[in-house]
Amino acid sequence: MTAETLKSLLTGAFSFTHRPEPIAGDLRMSWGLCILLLSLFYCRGKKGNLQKLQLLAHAVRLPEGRADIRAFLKGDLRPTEVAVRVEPWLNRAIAYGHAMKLVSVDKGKTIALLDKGIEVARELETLDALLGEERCFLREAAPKLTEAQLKRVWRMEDLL
Amino acid sequence: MTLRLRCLRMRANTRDGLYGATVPFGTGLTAIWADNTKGKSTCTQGMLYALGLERMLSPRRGIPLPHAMTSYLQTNSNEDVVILESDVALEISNRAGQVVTITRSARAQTDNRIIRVTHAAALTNPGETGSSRDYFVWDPGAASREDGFHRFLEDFLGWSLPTVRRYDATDAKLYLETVFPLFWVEQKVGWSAIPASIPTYFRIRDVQKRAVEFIINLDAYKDALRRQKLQELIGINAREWRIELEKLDNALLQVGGRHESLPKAPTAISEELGRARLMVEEDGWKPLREAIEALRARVSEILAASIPDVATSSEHLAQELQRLNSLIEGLNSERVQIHNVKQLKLSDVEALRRRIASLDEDLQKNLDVQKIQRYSGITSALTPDRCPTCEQSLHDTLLSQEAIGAIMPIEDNIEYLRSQLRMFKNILEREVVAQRGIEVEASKLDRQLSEVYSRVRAVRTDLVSPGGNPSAAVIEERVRAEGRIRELENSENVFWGSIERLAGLSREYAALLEEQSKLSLDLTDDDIRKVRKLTLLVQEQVEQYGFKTFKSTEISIAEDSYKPEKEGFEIGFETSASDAIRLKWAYQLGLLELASEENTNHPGFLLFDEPRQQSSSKVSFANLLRRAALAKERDQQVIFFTSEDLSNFEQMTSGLECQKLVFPGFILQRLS
Repeated sequence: MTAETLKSLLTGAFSFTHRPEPIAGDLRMSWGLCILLLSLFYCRGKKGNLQKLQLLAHAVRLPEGRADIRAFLKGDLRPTEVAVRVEPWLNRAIAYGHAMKLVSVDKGKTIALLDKGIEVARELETLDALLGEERCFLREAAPKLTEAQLKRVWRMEDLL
Repeated sequence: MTLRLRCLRMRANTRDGLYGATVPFGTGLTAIWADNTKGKSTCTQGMLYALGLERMLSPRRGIPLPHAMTSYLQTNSNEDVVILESDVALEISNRAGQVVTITRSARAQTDNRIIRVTHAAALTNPGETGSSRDYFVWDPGAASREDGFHRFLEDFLGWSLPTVRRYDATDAKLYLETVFPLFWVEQKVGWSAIPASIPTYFRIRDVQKRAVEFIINLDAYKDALRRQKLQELIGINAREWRIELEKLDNALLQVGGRHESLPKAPTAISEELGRARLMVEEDGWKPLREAIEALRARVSEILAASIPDVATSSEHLAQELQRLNSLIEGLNSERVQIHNVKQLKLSDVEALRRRIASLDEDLQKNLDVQKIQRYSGITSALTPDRCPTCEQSLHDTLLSQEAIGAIMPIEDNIEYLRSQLRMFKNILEREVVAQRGIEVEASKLDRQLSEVYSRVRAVRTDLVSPGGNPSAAVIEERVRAEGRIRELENSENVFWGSIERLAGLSREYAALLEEQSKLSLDLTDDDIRKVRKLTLLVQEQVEQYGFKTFKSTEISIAEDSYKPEKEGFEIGFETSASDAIRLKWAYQLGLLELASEENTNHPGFLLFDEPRQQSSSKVSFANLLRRAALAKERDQQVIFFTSEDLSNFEQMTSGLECQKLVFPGFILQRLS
């Protein structure tokens, strides 16, 4: 369309409408809640502390993060080389999960799956081709990460 | 193409001891009687489960077995006992007489995606041993990889399932789950469609049609296979064309050349190749032949003149050296510039590739979110629109609720990402072309510089040589020109070699297109004969079963959809419900009977779970049993599970040549 054609078409008054904002898929509610539920589902005892969930939530988002944790678990990366940060979306997911009676929060530290949460996580397990990479990573990493490893990653104790 | 079920064994280890059942099957009709809720469906679903075919029932990943095999079972005294471990084993054989026993655990610590196949009749002859191998189901590749159980089962049955087109234009195998419903009718969903309730969630186009074509072995199916093969060959042809062009591009890059008017994709019009030209950079872009002629003229010019000695041309040489030095300066600065542009372009292309990868990743996450939201189970509640505590409305985001005005709905977000992906892919394509142009330019400059340097060396040699020596600069120019002619002639050979290979590919492409256009979409005479025979078999049977809605002779099998029709209109369940069941019996038994007269892919096996649906009359059912019992004469197998009134059942089967199994209580019983 040439500039002239466009001008000839735009003869009347026109207005702009504010369009809704696109957001990243990993900031959608259901994505975050699924990651929270699956992380806990694969943890031993179907519960985990905030540090572990934060580490998993940060790593699971991107292929690089997943590769880092896999390398760390294999011993190819030192704890100080693992990048980690607090994901604000996870805290919100925990808050919603708690309100929706999917998880319980004990003393603000330990998060555990409630029966409804287990049921939803089981259902997620049965849905093929959903969160494929993420599920595979969480299934692999969640049960293996130990308390001692988490401390070494978060506190960088090796450098102290 | 034969499948025989020889024996089913179910075992459940409970707190109360071992429970289980062994159900042997014979050739011909096997009629199994048990009352309602006593375990018939457990048996049929157990067999499907052992064969890894649970997705025939539903797309959900889960064990399709009732609680009697997974959580608790009821004893004869109506007590519930908890199951600790359970498994299902099925002994089957094929036409070649091979017998295997398939075992799959239902409740166990082990992964229930694993199916163990033992090459022995381990159930009917417990002493027999054979090698065992584990196969997998559910995960991608189960139907195609060597370790995939369905690939094993396909080979075992002697089938070669065709590749079919899906709705999203990708290709997929005609999965076993889509073929089995034509001879395996289970009670819950199996009776709801004619000819069969075939799962559609694999998103295979015309899946019913494809499945029937395969089972009857119609030529139409072979044509469909050939059509797919041709599509594959056309794809290969296009790939080879692209590779040939890339090879030619690389070869021409070395000599500062490029081709013009060569089609980028295969063409069936060979004249288009005739229009192709080879251009080279020799003081501007010119056709190769022209460049060679100009160089030859220059060589003859040099040859015609006597070689001057150094003394007479020293002044001219000094000027020439000066000119060459300034030329080098210009070329070098141009080279630095082009190098910078090249680096920038490279980083642009890399950045675009990274952007596309991250968009792909984000798109996948959004698609996952969409699937979760569309799913009808409890998972769908993971996007609350109101706060579960204070009931305020919520945006679908885990960002702070105040941070953002309105969130794009997921469908729009996906479309938005797709359009971004399309845009970036287009930009990348354009940038790659530009990058290639820069590379051609850089290589041209490199070549020019090396030529000028070699000329400088010759002029300098002349300037320091004794005055009587012949001018090396003139000789060098001649040698260089001759070298360049050889180089260009070589690249001309490479060019014509490529054109010849492309012409070969073009001929091949034209032949493939021609064959594709000749493939008929209509049924062949053989196909029509088979479909008409099936029509006769169906007509004969519905008459026997007491079909009343209209005259049996008015029923025919449609030659386009292979569904039963009356005067061109499909017959569905607008007939009376019991007549629809009669029609379904007739169709599926008809397929089985057709297998003994025609060359089909039918496995010579038929299973009906609770065939007496919709209170079809006793006479009809008795006639069905009588007709099914004839399977023995044709060396085929029919298995019926029924809860018909026991005295009626005894009466109907008396005098029939069939194997009768009556389970007075629960089929699963405590084992001693």
